[in-house]
Amino acid sequence: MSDILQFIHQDPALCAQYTVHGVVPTRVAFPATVADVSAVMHHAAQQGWCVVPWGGGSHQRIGAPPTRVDVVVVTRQLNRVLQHEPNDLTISVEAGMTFAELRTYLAQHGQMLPMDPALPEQTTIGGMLACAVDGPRRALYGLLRDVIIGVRVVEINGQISQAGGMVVKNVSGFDMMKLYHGSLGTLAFIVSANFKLIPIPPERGCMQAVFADLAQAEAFVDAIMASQLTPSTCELVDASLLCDLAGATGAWGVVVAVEGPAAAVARHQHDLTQLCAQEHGMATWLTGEPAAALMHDIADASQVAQLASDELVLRWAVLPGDVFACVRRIQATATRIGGHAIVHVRASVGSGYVRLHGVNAAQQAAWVDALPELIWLATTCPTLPRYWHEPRGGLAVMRQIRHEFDPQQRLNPGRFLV
Amino acid sequence: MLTSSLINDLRAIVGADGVVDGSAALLTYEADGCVMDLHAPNVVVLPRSSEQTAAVVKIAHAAHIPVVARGAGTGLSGGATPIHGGIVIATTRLDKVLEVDTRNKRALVQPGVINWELSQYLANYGYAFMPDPSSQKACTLGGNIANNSGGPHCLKYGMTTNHVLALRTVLPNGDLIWTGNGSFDTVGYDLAGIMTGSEGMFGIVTEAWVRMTRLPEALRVVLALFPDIPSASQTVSTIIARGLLPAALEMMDKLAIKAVNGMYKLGLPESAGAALLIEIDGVNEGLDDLLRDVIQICRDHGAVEVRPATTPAEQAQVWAARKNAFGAMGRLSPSYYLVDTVVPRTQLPSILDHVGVVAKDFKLPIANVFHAGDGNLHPLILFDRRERSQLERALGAATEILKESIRLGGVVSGEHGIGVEKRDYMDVLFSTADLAAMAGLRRSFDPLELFNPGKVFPARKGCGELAELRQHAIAANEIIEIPHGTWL
Repeated sequence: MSDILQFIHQDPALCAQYTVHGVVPTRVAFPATVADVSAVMHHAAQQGWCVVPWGGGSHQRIGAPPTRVDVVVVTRQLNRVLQHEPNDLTISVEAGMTFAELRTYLAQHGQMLPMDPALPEQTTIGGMLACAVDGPRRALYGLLRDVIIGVRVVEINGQISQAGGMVVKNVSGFDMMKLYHGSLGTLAFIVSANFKLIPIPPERGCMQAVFADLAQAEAFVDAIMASQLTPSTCELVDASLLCDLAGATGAWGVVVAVEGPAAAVARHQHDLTQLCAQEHGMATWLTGEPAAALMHDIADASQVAQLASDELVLRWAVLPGDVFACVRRIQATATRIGGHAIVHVRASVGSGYVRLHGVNAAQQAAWVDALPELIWLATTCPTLPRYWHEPRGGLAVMRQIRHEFDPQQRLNPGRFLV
Repeated sequence: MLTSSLINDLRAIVGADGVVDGSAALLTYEADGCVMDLHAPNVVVLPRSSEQTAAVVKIAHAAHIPVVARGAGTGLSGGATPIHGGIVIATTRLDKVLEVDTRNKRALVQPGVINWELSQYLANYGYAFMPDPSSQKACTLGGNIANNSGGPHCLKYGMTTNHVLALRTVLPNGDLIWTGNGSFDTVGYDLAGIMTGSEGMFGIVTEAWVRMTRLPEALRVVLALFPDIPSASQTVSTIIARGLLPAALEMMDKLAIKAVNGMYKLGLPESAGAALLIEIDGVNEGLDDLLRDVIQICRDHGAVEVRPATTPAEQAQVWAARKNAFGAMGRLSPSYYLVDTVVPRTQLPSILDHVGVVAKDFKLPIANVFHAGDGNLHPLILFDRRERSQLERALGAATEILKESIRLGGVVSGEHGIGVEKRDYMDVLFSTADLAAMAGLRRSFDPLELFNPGKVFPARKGCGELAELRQHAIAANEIIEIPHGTWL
């Protein structure tokens, strides 16, 4: 146990690098193994320390500021592939591996975890799980929630426990994977997770469709939704997020990505081109590097790691059929409250983001009130109360779960479900 | 346990015809599809609404009476068996599809809606509810949600949990909550995700927003015959490893072929050692290329015959044979014990070898009909229940197969659930600390452990004991145990 002091540091300059929402931790720990994490958690329990798990730090601005941080526990040294049998299409990885590291590793085997977090070089697997990070290809592949098959955590007292397994279909025991997914580090410290993989499809491409107005973009999205096409991305984007292409100017874009056998991709390209023309859009088909760059930019559009002092990012969710009504309301809100709003939405699943520039504290507060569909917000503004809207149901049982897993509220205190 | 005044209170909620308490009638409810452990309830209640269900649960909660939810009773792990008696809440009268919302690709259903009937209904709109358990013509959505049910098409489309958007649920204290509004994200913990597959221990679902999936534009079905199991299972491994992503990939062995052949007039050569049923779907373009690749892989692994089922009628016939294979076993034996287990897909040849050895060791024929693409086995141990020694051998054979699954890196249930049947395997698969975390979660919903008591947790290490062990460990900052480290 005395060994643990070797990887717990108190250097103020180092601690400042791990500031959580303006709260500077007293200590930073860099465990290298799961046993180390267990030792830190056990020690923290003995000392009564409040703990904040930290992956790449790219999503720490989600959720309310913690009320106290005695130790930030950094997972970056937990970055190993624990088990990968390529022919099983399953993998077990440690929480501190970045998504980019995992993507590179899997690409050597012709496989992928079909997610696209913002800032993949920084964002870790554990962070993606804790924050329920989504990406543009959610339209086809869902969230990590849909592909996670096992999880290992260190509980509040240092106890290591796990659930699920390394098989793709499993109802042996409760689904603890769903419990930890999206729990914002309030229930347990995620140290590794297992996923289903899929092979990298033989062909991929994407269409950038540009429209003069929102109604045309809406008609295009509706036509795709009503068709039997199965795109992996169907993202409504503010024109400023589009590739700069000669002749393609407009207010709104829809980016539709497709992947699969070559003939199926060609069929999608053909049909999408027709649908786009019907709605008076300007379609450009991209493959290879330009397609990858556009998809990368769209994924990064939801980043919250670097925020200016007058910047606010809001994540919201509505039913897919209500996406355009919500976007129009956001436009009206921008006129009323002020701020330059950049919107992008995973249109077929109703998961949207609005990034606001040039909004002061009062305007930011007004924006939060104006968006009842809010899932989370991210800002550097110190005065804004960062409590989002209450869960639609089950708050009492959520609090009971929190109490059961962390009775003294020492994990990310104040962040979530307070 | 249940006084007559309490039964009168129940009648006041659901009406006189909504309460079953005659001892003969109660026998119907003493088991589900798992007939190993039987116990009749004290009373059965048939509510017609969420509010009635909540009112019944409030009474049970106040009087500390166990509550067991029941759909069609097709479960195979004893999940609906009231092993401690109490109130069975049957969802039989909650059987309406309340709304079909094509714009948002979702349907609002009550839990007593039958899986098959929902998909038939949604087909009118060009959609389906994708999870399709073999019992789909009888099983209910509530049961599917409780067990996180699977089925052949889960290979591509995922289990029930991937198709549940929000649940209206009566919690064990009688509170009626919605976990969300049916949009794809909600604020707070993922209660719908946690409740799906919780085997009726966290709440009773009274309404659910489920996902509707657009029916694919086109599909291809092919039936490939192999000389033996190893060649068929190698084919499965290759198809998965090559990433051809079939919609379904199902296997039947020699005994199963024999059973379905006569019933469904498939005319399969009974010399074949194994048959693979492969379905691929998507847009029409590219499907024939995929099919050609699949057929080539089958031939490369020694398929003796490859039969495409081209017309919808042929496809339906092949699928009927697969989905009703369990029923066809009646042609071979008076009883069978259907084992549900999963291994990593590359371990299929090993586990199937072992099943063959177990059949010899226990001197009982074992047929195999299963979801090969998922690594989800269903050995059917054929026996005659009237002979006590055969029953004992069947149970012994099942234990052997489950232990071997765990040894090969698998688990003890892929889609049927733990219930009573598998609860004593849970501490073979999981550590005490793993189970204690699950017990903690259960107690967060149900501190009195009234909902479906006696399930999932081992009889020798019950939920209450585990939860208290954990609470004590957290309070005293102690470690329950060092894990044995499956993935380390």
